[in-house]
Order: sequence, then C-alpha cells, then structure tokens
Amino acid sequence: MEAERTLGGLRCRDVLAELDRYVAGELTPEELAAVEIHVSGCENCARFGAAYAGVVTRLRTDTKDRVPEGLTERLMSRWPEP
Amino acid sequence: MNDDGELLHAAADGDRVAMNELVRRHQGAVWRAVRGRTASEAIAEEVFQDTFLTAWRQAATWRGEGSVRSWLTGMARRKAAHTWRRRVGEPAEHTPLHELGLAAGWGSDPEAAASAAEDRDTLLAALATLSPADQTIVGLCDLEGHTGPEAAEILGVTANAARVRLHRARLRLMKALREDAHGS
Repeated sequence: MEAERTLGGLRCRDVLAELDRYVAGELTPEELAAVEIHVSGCENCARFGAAYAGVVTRLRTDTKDRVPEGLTERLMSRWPEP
Repeated sequence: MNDDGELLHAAADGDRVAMNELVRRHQGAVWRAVRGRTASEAIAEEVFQDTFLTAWRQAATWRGEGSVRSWLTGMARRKAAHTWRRRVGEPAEHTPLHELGLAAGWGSDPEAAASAAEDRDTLLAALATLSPADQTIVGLCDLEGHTGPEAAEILGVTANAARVRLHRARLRLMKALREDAHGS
C-alpha cells in the first residue's frame, strides 16, 4: 500500500479496517482518538474516509417510500382466481 | 384493525380485500427491498408485482415464523437475486482489505465513487453489479436499516462476520462506482 503512513499508532490499512465502525460511531473512546489523530494527519485516509461516509450516507438516504405511481393499483387489479 | 397474520390467512382463503390491505401496508418495504437490488426501475416493478402475486398464490404457506413483512421482503430479495448477472472474474473473498481499499480509490481518487453515488440511478446500478451476497448485506443494513446483529441473525452468521461482509461489500461498491465514473 504505497504512501501508507503510521500515525496515532495506526497504519493506514488499520484505519481502513475500522472505517465502518468509525462511520457508525462504534469505536471505543481510545480507538476513536487514535483514528482521529491518524486521519487529521493523513490526507489519503481523510479523503477516503469522507468518500466512504458519503457513499454510506447516500445508500441510507436514497431509499424512499416512493412506490411508483400506479404500480400498486395495477397490481391490485390482477389478483388471479385463488 | 386485523393484524398481518390474520390478513394473510384471509388472503389464503381468497380474500382480495385482505390482500390489498397487506399490499398497502408493506408496499414501501417490498419496494425498498427490490429497488436496491435491481438494475432498473422497470425490472424492480416486475419483481415488486411478482412478489405480491406469489404471496397471493402462496399465502397458505406462511407458517407464522417471523413477521409477514420479513416473509414478503425475503421473497422480494430472492426474486430480485434471480435478475442479476454475475460479473466474470469476481474477486475471491480472501482479497486483502487494503487491496479493496486501493481499488475503491484510496490513495488516488476516492471522490470519484462518492461523486458517482450522488446520482441515485448510478448508485443503484452499481449496487446491482455486485454479487448476490454483497447486495444482500448492503441491502439489509444500508437500504433496509437492519442493524448488524439483525442482519447476522437473518443471514445465520456471527455479528462480526456480517460486519466484515458489509464493509467489504461497500468497498466493492465504491470500486464499481469509481469504474462507472471513469467510464462515463
């Protein structure tokens, strides 16, 4: 992993491995402190972490309760004989 | 108001009014289960209708294990899975995580994936190119909002296994988004 750094006692690949827990807010205070030290000094991890969080956010907010108009009505007119 | 189980039993006896009520109650959940696993809205509509038509025909097979909603969304996910095509040369599961990170843009252009994800159709089309296993875990956790432990129970794996699967699947999704961004 070219350009990998060690900051906050963590290598970049260590931060990558914990990125899901970081985004989910599941790191312990000690883990969080180490990751934040690393990210504050590592542009690659800062950029990747932001992009990862952005994709997760889009996944989680893109879902809408928006069934296409007319789809349900078309369905309800199609029940075959039981 | 009848509970879902009562409505489904009535539907099993041919009660269309009961079935319509079930559709109204669960259309959003079934749509979310389907739309995030199909490459287009047209395919999603077909799977949506097929799911409820199958539920109508097979209403008598519901044994009361779990909720009616989970029965419907599970059926929807399986039907959506049949619309996928596997990518040739799919990476093996033991690909080191840091290699998945590199492919997702670490050290180069991670913003490409995030930018591509801004477009909903692009995001869902990229998701539809992933393996069924990847789509399922992303669908369960990120689209349907199940917690890691809930997804683990649904899949019959440990919580840590579900967590690792989700993280790796998201990285492969970022790779797919990045490839889309570079291709367009």
